[in-house]
Amino acid sequence: MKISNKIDRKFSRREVIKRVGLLLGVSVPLSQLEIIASSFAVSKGKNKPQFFGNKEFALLTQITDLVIPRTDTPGAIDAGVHVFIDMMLAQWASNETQSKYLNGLKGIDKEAKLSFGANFIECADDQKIGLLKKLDNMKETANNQQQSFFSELKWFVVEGYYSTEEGASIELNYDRMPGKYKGCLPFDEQGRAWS
Amino acid sequence: MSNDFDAIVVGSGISGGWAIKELTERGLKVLLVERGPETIHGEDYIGEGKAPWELPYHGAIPEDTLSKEYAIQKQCYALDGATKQFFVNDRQHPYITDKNKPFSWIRGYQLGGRSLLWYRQSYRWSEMDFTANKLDGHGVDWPIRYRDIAPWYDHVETFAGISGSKEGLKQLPDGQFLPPMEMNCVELEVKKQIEQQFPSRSMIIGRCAHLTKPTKEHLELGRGQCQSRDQCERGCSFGAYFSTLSATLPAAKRTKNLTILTDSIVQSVVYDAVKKRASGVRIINSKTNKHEELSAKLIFLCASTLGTTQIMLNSKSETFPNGMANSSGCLGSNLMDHIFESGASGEYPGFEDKYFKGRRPNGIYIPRYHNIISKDDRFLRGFGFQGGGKRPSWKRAKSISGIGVSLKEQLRKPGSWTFSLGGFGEMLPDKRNRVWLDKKLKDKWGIPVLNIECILRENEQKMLKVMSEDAREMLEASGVINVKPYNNSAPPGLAIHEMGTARMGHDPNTSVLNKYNQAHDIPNLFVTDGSCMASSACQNPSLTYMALTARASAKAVEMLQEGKL
Repeated sequence: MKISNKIDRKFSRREVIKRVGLLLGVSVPLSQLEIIASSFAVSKGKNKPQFFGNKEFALLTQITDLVIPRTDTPGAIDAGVHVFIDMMLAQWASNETQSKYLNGLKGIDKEAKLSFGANFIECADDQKIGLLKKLDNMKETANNQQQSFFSELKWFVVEGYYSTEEGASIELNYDRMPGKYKGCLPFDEQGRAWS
Repeated sequence: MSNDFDAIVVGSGISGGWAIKELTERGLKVLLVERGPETIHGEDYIGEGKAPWELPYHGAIPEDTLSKEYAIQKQCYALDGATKQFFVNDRQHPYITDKNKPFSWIRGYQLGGRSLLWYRQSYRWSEMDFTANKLDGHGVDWPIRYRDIAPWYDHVETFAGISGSKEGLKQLPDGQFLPPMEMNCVELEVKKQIEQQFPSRSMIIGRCAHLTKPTKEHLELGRGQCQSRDQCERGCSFGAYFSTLSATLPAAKRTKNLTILTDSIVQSVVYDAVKKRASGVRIINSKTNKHEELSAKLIFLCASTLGTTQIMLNSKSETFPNGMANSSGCLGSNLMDHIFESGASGEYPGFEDKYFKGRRPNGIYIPRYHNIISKDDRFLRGFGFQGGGKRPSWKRAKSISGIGVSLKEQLRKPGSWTFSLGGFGEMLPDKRNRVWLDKKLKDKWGIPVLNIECILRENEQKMLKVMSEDAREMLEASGVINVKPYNNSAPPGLAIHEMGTARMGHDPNTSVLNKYNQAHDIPNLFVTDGSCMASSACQNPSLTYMALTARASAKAVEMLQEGKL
């Protein structure tokens, strides 16, 4: 399912979007997310997580997908952002950050148990979304630990996604070599934000 | 190594680059000594042109590396995974500050120095800047005036390639410009508003060392047009921005008069007490620790303000027990930087159907307007603003709520226009702001490390306050909404415009250098980097270092030929 490996360089971005759209339809129901997550090589032992345990990785995968889902363009899972975050925690993060992520994910499960009596991954789709939206509503109670962890994790997903080829050049427009700067063009000429 | 050099130039940044160009083009055999490794234009720009997904960790530096190896350098906006090879490792290059008086010393030790990393803003000083010390009594009078440096500004601008617009402003003289970069729609609108409502102020496009339209001279050096990538600090193999590697080094090389010695730290300058001249430099190979002495008729110190000052302080002899050419005792004093991190930003409503293309490596500039025609009672001298308008990218997600499809849809469009202004202000020379050699701590090559003590004082604090008030006032008057003023007071050093510790002046008792950047005490010793500055003005200083270096080089060759050195 990792679209990034399948993009044929001969196709233009527009054609890729069209192809991806045809292949996937406009939006993927959430019930299929687990399939995507599990099919994403974890169970196959191929891309075994470097940092997280399988259970935590599954949770991370779910959250990653809920933050940036697949629409008419690839989502964060398609772009491999969950694998990226796992790699970053294994190779880039300090011990302190590593503990923060392990505890933070535990905290989200705890929150799910408190609210719905089940681990996050076992909750119904609307419960999952409701919980993340609650955590995302940062301004309400800014010093809640879970909330501040989630806003960090959300940023990790967002930054990870828009820095991948999929996020930067399929969802948005990427301009490697712009040439002369133009200060004032009709937005419709671009149609999307620069990444 | 053969010792047959007319001149030794220490340091290969912006100043050293100009020294080697001007000296070799006048026929001198020059040895360039650089403490860092060789850097090859193009080949060593390992992050150039790479998309984030093509960089390790998407361009981020591992957290432990960042906190342990780059504790100071990480404060610089330009440090990331694609540029870190151009910054020093703080652990290997220590200096000392009082913990309550931080100073951020941002450094790049490689061939090309910080000319690879600079922000490229290029502004002339005006007559007002050269007379400021004399008029208000802070610091010593500059031994030069605008007319002395003006032809040299012409000279360096033409060669370096400075893009800008002619404005006819007395406080910011026009120069030899390549075509200006464009303002975007919001900038044009804010410009109109500011200039209408504040008749003594103007908003212009930034003047910057980018080739918007290369000349024949630029093309012959292998330089090409700016591609608006705005990743300049990674290096630019188009040579579209001015650096030693893109411009002055190839110019010096083609004379066949240049020899380059990298990985060679200058420990001190050698003084010949009989001839009363600097006879050469003592160098330490940074890799092998081998010591060597090299001699020449002429020594140019261009090792950056604090680097040069450290070398001079460490060059002790019977004649100069407190450091070379320091009979005045003011070597190391009067350290200045620009004050910044004060301004305002907000949102500009409208123009939702307009967007830009390209990443302009430049912004707008509001030249100084205080204390020009009438005197402001609140503070001496003045400040300018840099800034600009833009539409924020997906990065605004950090401060907006939402997840899922709605977040993705929102980020597919750019954010509403924003506009920001950040001040850069003049710091007064003050002898209490100073550096000195530590008596105990030495670096791994046995060179005493620097102590740095530099704080913002009353005039600077007052100016910072007015900066953010003025910025708020101008933005609000221009139709910007939700204006947020700020005054964060960055640690000195972080503007990376440190200067002043071996200042020029008329009087050998109160200054180190004369009007030609020549040491009062030692005729064949020239210092042309930022350490020579007698005041800081508020303009970005590199263009002035270039002009002073070119001027001093020409004069030094003239004096050498006349047998005066």
